[in-house]
Order: sequence, then structure tokens, then C-alpha cells
Amino acid sequence: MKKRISVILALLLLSCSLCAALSACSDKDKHEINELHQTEVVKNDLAEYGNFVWAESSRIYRFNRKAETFYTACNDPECDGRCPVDCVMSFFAGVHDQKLYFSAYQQFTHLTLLACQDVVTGETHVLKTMSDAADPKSYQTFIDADWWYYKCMQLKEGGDATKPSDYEPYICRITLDGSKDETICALSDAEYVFMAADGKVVTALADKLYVIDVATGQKQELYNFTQNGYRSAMSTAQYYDGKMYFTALAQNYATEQYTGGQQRMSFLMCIDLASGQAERVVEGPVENFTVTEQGIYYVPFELRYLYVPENPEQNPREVKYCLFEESIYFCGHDGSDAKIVYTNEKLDFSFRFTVVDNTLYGWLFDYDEQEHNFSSSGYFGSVNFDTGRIVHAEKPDKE
Amino acid sequence: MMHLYRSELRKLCSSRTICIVFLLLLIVNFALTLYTAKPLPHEDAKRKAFEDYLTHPEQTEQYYKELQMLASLNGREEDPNFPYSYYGSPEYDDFLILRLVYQRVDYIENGYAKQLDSIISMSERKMDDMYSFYYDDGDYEIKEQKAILERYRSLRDNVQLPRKYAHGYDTYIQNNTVSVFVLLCVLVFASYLFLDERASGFESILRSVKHGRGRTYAAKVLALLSATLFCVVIFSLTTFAAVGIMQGYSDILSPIQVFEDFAKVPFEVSVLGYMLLQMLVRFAAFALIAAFASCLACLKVPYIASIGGGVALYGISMIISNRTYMGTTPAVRYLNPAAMIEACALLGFDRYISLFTMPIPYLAASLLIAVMATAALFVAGGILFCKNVRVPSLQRRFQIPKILIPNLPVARKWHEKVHTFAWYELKKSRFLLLLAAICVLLAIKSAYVDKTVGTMESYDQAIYYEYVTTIQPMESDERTAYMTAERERIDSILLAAESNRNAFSNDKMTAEEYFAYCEQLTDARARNGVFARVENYVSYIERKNAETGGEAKIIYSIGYERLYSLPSDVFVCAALMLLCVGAFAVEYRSQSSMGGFSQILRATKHGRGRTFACKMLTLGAIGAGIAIAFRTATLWIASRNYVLPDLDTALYSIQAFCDVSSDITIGQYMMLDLCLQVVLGVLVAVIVCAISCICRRPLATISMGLLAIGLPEVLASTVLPQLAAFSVLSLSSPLSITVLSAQKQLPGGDFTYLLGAVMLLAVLSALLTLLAGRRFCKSHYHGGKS
Repeated sequence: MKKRISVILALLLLSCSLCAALSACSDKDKHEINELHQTEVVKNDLAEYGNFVWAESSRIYRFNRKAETFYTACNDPECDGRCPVDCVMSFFAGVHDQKLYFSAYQQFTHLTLLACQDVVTGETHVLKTMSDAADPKSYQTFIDADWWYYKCMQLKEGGDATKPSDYEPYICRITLDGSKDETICALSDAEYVFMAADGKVVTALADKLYVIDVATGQKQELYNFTQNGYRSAMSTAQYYDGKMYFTALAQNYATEQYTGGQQRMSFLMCIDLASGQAERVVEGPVENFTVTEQGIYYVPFELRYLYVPENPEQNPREVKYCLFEESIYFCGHDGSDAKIVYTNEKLDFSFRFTVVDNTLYGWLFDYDEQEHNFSSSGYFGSVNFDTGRIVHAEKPDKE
Repeated sequence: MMHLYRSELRKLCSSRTICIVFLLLLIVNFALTLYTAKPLPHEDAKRKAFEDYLTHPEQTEQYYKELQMLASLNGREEDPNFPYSYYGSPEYDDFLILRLVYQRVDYIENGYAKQLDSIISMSERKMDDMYSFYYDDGDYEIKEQKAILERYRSLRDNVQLPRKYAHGYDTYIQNNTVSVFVLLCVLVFASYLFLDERASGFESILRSVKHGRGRTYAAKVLALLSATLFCVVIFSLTTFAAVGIMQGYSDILSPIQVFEDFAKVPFEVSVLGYMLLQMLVRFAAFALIAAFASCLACLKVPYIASIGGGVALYGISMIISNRTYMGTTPAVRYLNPAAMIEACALLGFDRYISLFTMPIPYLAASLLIAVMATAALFVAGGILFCKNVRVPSLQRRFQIPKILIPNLPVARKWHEKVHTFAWYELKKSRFLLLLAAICVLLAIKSAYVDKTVGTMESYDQAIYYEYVTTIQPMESDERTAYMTAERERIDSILLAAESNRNAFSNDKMTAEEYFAYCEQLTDARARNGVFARVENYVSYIERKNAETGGEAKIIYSIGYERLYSLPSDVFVCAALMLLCVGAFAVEYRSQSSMGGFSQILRATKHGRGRTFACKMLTLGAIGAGIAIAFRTATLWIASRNYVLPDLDTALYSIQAFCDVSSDITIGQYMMLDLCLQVVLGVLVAVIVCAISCICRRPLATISMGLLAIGLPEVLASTVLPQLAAFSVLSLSSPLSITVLSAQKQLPGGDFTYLLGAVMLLAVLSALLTLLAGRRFCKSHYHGGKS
């Protein structure tokens, strides 16, 4: 009997160790991981980690900064195109523990997915699915302290499931392993998550920003655009070192001289989440910006004429112009020491970009001499500010 | 030891039940494969064209170019004026046939290499990426990619695809229906080998003799493994033969990659090698399932529990293997018995799993896990067998506790009166235990239904419901106007997004106006997709009304759709089997060489005809009750989770019933559905009882019952939908048979075929019952094994 028991125990032990061994993953030493490029800046239009920059254009791509290769982020040779990385619309929530978190809209299922991809192995995992009606602003998701914050329509307590009016948008949060999913507080219909950081969730509604303390659920007004001479938030927000950066839509506008068209302008703002103190970072209007740990890169607003025909008053529609300067500037987080780092009047680099090691990575649009305008189809590329060269440029949909 | 092994094998071979089940399944598999492996009509033409291409490549190329030119001149490729020398009729013209041939040629010459290059470059890139994350050659992830690279580079260098027309083997390899037959056989073998002595009363003698425990158990295990292997091989050969008859085979020594579906197979094997590999993997999986069933059998559970346990293990792993992982590929999807039995996904690509940071191919890992689990189950079973462990007996007979019977003359009289035939039948059948098991099944089924039908507690469902209930009372014109206006409203809000943003930026719109618009925009975005579904439904209703004369109404039909799209109810089938398997077997159960109680019973007054009728009627009635209870539970869950409105609306208002054109209402159909459940309950009970009477032993009853009830349903829901009429289980979810009935358009209306099918099933059941009755009442007892 003892012999049999020992045999079965041995087999059980062997099975357990086999299972443990099979599920074991090799963890890299933390000190090695720390040597990888990673940023403390929170932003959701591009993601960066290690040698990689992730960008979205109907699917997620990743650019290897060292190897200068640009491929789809999905690296499963057997993928049938239905994986979360291949969704038509994706927005990044950040990289945590070597996993890229993103929200994605899957067109053929009409579902919004909260998903992640292991940046090393490429394995994907779906944490949550929501119907498109339940979350029409799915892209506004942020990660803060191992929680992923998102907005979702949910039935009110005691509400009638058949009445749309009994559903309310809520701020919800889910743990990064998907094990816990909970509701924080209700929002207004048009209110959306603007940023989540330092245990606070910032929401935007109309001409106001609100801040919600996640621990207490207390909500208070953070910033009133109208009272401060602006109209509303213009861009998505970026966060670094206790401060939230975004552009605010100005109350005045630029007038195009030939057509009389009025062009909106916005200013780069910064709000200290702890004190609520807001300030304009750069004096002039800004078309786009990206925050890095070293400072802020921004493209100033400028109504720049690209082509003016011989009789512009008679053919005002032929006048071509853009709304950004041909230069990109760099300044400190407080806007100090602004300087031009790159100039190229034949390139539009203002759409979505980030800067790593003095090199810009983002969507670029060439100037089309025939059309006298910037091309509508862009490519992903990199521009080295030190040499002034466009290092890499590649169209999406390579595979 | 060997003589014990031989005697176990002899026992298997000498069992009439085993032989009948095995042969029946073999014949059904062969016939079914013959039916499903019919080649496509243009297959011969394609083969001929391919041969032409091989013998006269230049001429064929020239001919194809001419056809291409003709196609481009005509502006469309499917021009009916193309010649059709290969197929012989314009249905498949030469251009189409040659295009298929050149696709095949392109795959052989370039496509295969391209696919490998793509895998290799992706793997190289992944490796480079990992190095950039400070991974080194000692890390599992790098080792994995290196293994993949090595494997596919080797394939690229060594595999030469022959320029031949390969055919036949892909159909054989992808045939997975054969697994159902093997599964049933293996489970019958396992439970028979380990439970037969107990059923025949020989167990105590066997256990008291020398070598009656450990060695006997070992011999049984060996016999079971041999029988499993035999089963896998024989069924595979039968399938192979049937496919060969229908399609013929090309060169068996060609690399498996010659078939495009197997381009990423990571082994340098021929078709023959791949088929043997598939057989090996299948054998390992079936051995695991057999070990599980035998382990259960060693607990001295009834036959049905042992076989049911095996089926449940297979079912669960099927769910794990086939559930959607939203495009992701976790290891659990491949490393389970169902994936091993299906084999193609497991062997289709070079995937690895980490074992102490060593990359182990899925094939090896699955075999390793299966072997270890099988060994552990056999060892556990051995201990149970040798120690004579059994499940605690719950054999309390069905009795009303005396405390519940008031001490009144009337009550006592009633209690005595109800001790009728039926009462004793129930007492005999361990009714409380059965009832508990059936309740457990009902609970599992309810949980399954609850999860499968979902709820309407979601925002999009609420919007859909609101739209439908809004337009429901409207007249056609009013509805059209409303729909048009709503579509315009949504579109206008969506389209105005950019202009309103600009207007707000340009100070032509106040902040209040703009943010009021933003609220509308959020709402419009949410409603856009849902309203498109409503439009689709309304257009269906209008089309249907135009066809039938206007009985269809707009209703909130999602709940009905979900309710009626549930698959056939295997739980009710299991419950009825559980109830009826022992109906007659209990009388024949022999605990000694003198046989069962049937001899005494049949010698008594009313011991034949009345007993038979009583059993049939009692269990038929209870079967009907159980079927109704299971269906009522489903209806209750559906009505709790969804609004199920307007029972007096025409059935075809539910889009799933779009083929129905009669004026039957949803309420009437629900009643019909409940009647069908009664029929289902009675028929299944009667069929199983009759089989129990004819076969006399539980194992034979279960096997034949599964063959008669389960097999037609499996075939109807997979490869032969036409078989629904012969599947009594299809009545448990009557949507498919109703639609089939409506599509047949037989004289008498939409339900003629359905009623005909019910009548047919009833007549077949009646014939079976007559046969059973005759056997029970007329024949004398056969002492031998059945």
C-alpha cells in the first residue's frame, strides 16, 4: 500500500511540477529592464517603451527605433486578422510591466475591447469587452496605479433595464490583470475621462474640467475655461510629474485673409493636479505638442500660406494654407528656454508625434508640389533633430 | 499476466453489446464518410486540367493567357462564353478551372516558400526585438524563436513540393466526425471492462482469487489501451477507405505541405507520416478519456456515470478548445483532449511551451501531459480497484416518511391505495437518487441557459427595445415617416460634428449650444448602430408582410431569438437516459448465477404485460414531466432575462423563423413547443425503456440509447442537417426542424414535415416498444450475457 501511495504521490508531484514548469516564464532582471527607455509621461496617441514606438492607423504598428523597422504589432503568423491589435480604431493607455495596454474598436463585432499585448512575446489578452453603444468614447482610457479607468454606460441601481434613460455613464476601473472591475461614479452623457493620475480622475464636460478623488468619490470643479478666457479643452491631455498638459481652445481666432474663414487657435496649458493651479505654458498659440521627461516639444500655431494663386480674391478656394509653423520648438516644462529644434517647411509633422533621444517619431505628411498642399496620406517616420535628417519613412499596411 | 490480458480481450470480443456497438458505429462512420466526402463537381475537371498543364505547360499557359485576354476584353471574368472543354458544361468554364489550377501551381512554385519566408522573417524580427529588451540566448523566448527559425529554415531548404495534383488526404485528415464514433466505442469499452464483473455479480469472487486485484487491474488497463488503439486505427482506416472510394488518393509519400491548408505544418513528413502522427495524438487523447472513464468505473458508479463522465470531459475540453479567445491564442486552447483529437490545429503550426525554460513543442507537451494524466488516472483507478473503494451508497428507496402521513384512517387508506404498481416501480428505481441527479442536471442546465441567452441589461438592448416599442403601434406610413426622420436626425447630428466644432471654435456657436450638441452627438453615436439593426428588422417585416399579406408585426423579438436559438437540450436527454436506463435492466440484474428477479416476476400474475405497460406508462409520464420541467426552466429564465411580448403575433415576426409563412402565433408555437417537449419526453423514455427491455443490461442500453438518440442529433447538427427529422432530440430545440419543415413547403402547410417527422419518430418508437413488449412477455429468460 505504502509503495502505491508513494507512486501516486510521486506522479502527482511530477504532474504539479510539470504544470508549474510549463506555466513558468522567464522574468528578466529588474535592473536590465530599468535600462530600457521608458517614460513617466502619460499620453494616449502614441506609446513608447524600450526601442519601440507604437502608432495606430486602422491597426496597431510598432516601430523599432534601433533596427528602424515598422511592422504591424501583431506577430502571430497564424493570426486571422481578428486579434485585438488589428482593430480599426485603437488608443493607447500606456505600457506597464512590459505590457502595452490599449482600447480598440472591433468593427465586425461592434465591440470595444480593453486589451493588452506583451511587448516582448506579442501575446495578446482581452480584459474586457463592451458594446459600442455602451461606450461611444472608448478611447479615453488611462492607467493609474494598476487600475485602468474607462467610461461605460451602466444601469442605475434599481433602474429598469428596458429604459435607456435608466442607464448612466459611469467611470469604471478594472485591474490590469482583469480580476476586479468596479464602478467609481456617474458622469453626464457628454462628460468623458480626460486624465487619471495620482488617485484622481479628471473629467471634461462643456467648458469645465472636474476632478474626482477616487478614494472618497468627491467631485469638484478643477478648471473653468470660460472664466479664464478660453472655450474648452482642445487636445487630449498628457501628464507628467503632477501636472496635466493640454491645449485649450482660445476665444479669439485667426482669420484667413482671402476667404475670410476663421481658424481656431489653442494654447498650451498646464494644471497642477494637487493645487489646481493652472497656467499657460507657452505664450503663443500652439497647434500640437508632446511632453517628454526633458521638456515639451511643440509646434506653434501659424496661419501659413502654402500657395496663393495670381488672383486670390477671385479664386479664394485655390488658396492653400496650413495652421502650423514649419518649426518645432523645445522648452522646459514651465515654458522656459524655448528654442527651435527642427525646421522643414515641406513636411507636416504636427499630427501625432513623440520625441525620444532628440528624434521625432510620428506621422509625417509630405508637401505635394502638384496639389500645393500637404499630402492626405501620411507615413510613419522619424526625424533626427541633431542631423536634421528624416531617418526613416514608411507607409502603413506593409503586411 | 498475459493470460489475464488475453482473457480481458476475449471478454471484450465475446460481448454481444460491444460487438454490435462497434460494428454499428463502424458502418455508420463508413456510410457517413462516403456521403460527406463527395468531391466537388469540378474536381475531375481540375485534375484533368492540371495533368494537361503538366504534360503541355506551354500550350496550357498559352490557352490560359488567351482566356485571360478574353476576360479582360469582356470586362468580367465569369463570361458565359468561355469554352468549357474540361468540365463539359458552362457551369464551370475553362477559365475558372484553369484559374484554380494556376492558383495551385502558384502555391507549389512560390506560395509555400513565401509563407515560410514570412514566418521566418517574423520570427527573426521577434528575436531582434527581444534582444533589444535584453533577452539573451539563455532565455526561453529566444530559444523558442530559434527553434521556430531552425524548423522553418530547414523546411524551406529541404521540402520540395512535387508538381503533382494532390487530393484526397486533406479530406481524410480534416474529417473530425470519426472522433465521435471512436469516443463512444472507447467509453463503452472502458466501462464494460471495469464494471462488467460487478454487474454480473462475479466481482466478489474475482477479488478473492489470486491475482484478482492488481494483476487483473493491470490486465484490464492493457486491454483497454489495446482496444482504444485498435478502435482509433480501425475507424481511421474505415474513414480512409471511404474517402479513397469517393475521391481517390494522390501520392502518399508527398510532403504534407503539398496541401495548402497544411502549409505551416512544422514537420518534414510525408502525408503518410502526418496521418500516423495524427493517429498517435488521437490515441493519446482517447487513452486519457478512457482512463478517466475507467477511473470513475473503479468507484463502482453505474455505467451511465462512467460513460457520462467521459462525455463530460470531452465536452468541457471541446468548449475550452472552441471558445472564442478574441483572436488570442492561449496554450490551453491547444493542450486539451479535444484539440488533440481534432489534431489539425495542434499540428498545424510550430508552437512551443516552456518547460524549465526549454521550449517544448506543443505536440510533445500534449503527448507528455496526456501520458502523465493517463498514468495518474490509471494509478488512482488501480488503488480504487484494489481497495474496493466505492461511492457512498445512496440506495434509499422512495418512501414517504411516515411522519408525513397523518395518523388518520383516511390518510392511512390513501397511503395504502397509492401503493400501486407504478408506486413500486418508482420505489425500485432508487427514485430519490435519480431525482437528485436530475435536479443537479436541471440546475446545470439552468446555469448554462442563463449564461447562453444573456440578459437585456445593456444600453444597446435598452435603446433597441425603446425603438421597437415606439414604432410598434404605428401604422405603416407613420412608421416609415418616423424611421426616415430618425435616420435623418442621427445622420445630421453625426455629420454636423466637424462643422459644429468649427462653428464653436469660430464663435458662431455659444458654449451652451455646443455642449448641448455634444450631448446629442454622444447619444447619436450610441444609437446609430442600434438603429441600423432596427431598420434591418423593419425592412424584414415589411418584406415578409408583402409576401404573406400582412400578419407580421414589429415586436421586441431578441428574447425569442435567443430562446429558440439554443442548441438541442443534451441535459434533458441525459436526465431521461438516467431515469430509464435501469427500467428493465433492474429486473435482469443478476447478483448470482441464478440470474435476476425477472424469472420470478414473469411467473407472477400481472408480471408480464401489466408490468411492461406499467413501466412504460410510468416512465413515459415522468419523462414527459421532466421534459416539461426542463423546458419550463428555459422559458422562465428567458422570460426573466428578456421581455417576451406579444404572444398573439405571427411567428414569423421573429426573424429566425423567416421561412415560416403560416399564421401561427408565437403563443401557439410556444404551446406547440411544449407539446413537442411532451412528445420528446415520452419518446425518449419509451425508446430507452424499450432498449433497456431488449438489451437487458445497462451498458448495452446506454450504448444503444446513445446510438439511437445522440448520434442522429450529432450528425444533424454537424454534417447532415437533413437528419433532423430522424433525431428525436431535435424536438428539444425545435427551431431548426421548424425552419426545415417550412423550407420543404409540403402540401398542408409549414408544419407538415414537422408533424410527419414526429409521426415517424412515434411509429418507430411504437415498433420498438412492440418488439420490446413481445420480448418481455413472450420469450423465456436467457441466462447468458446479452
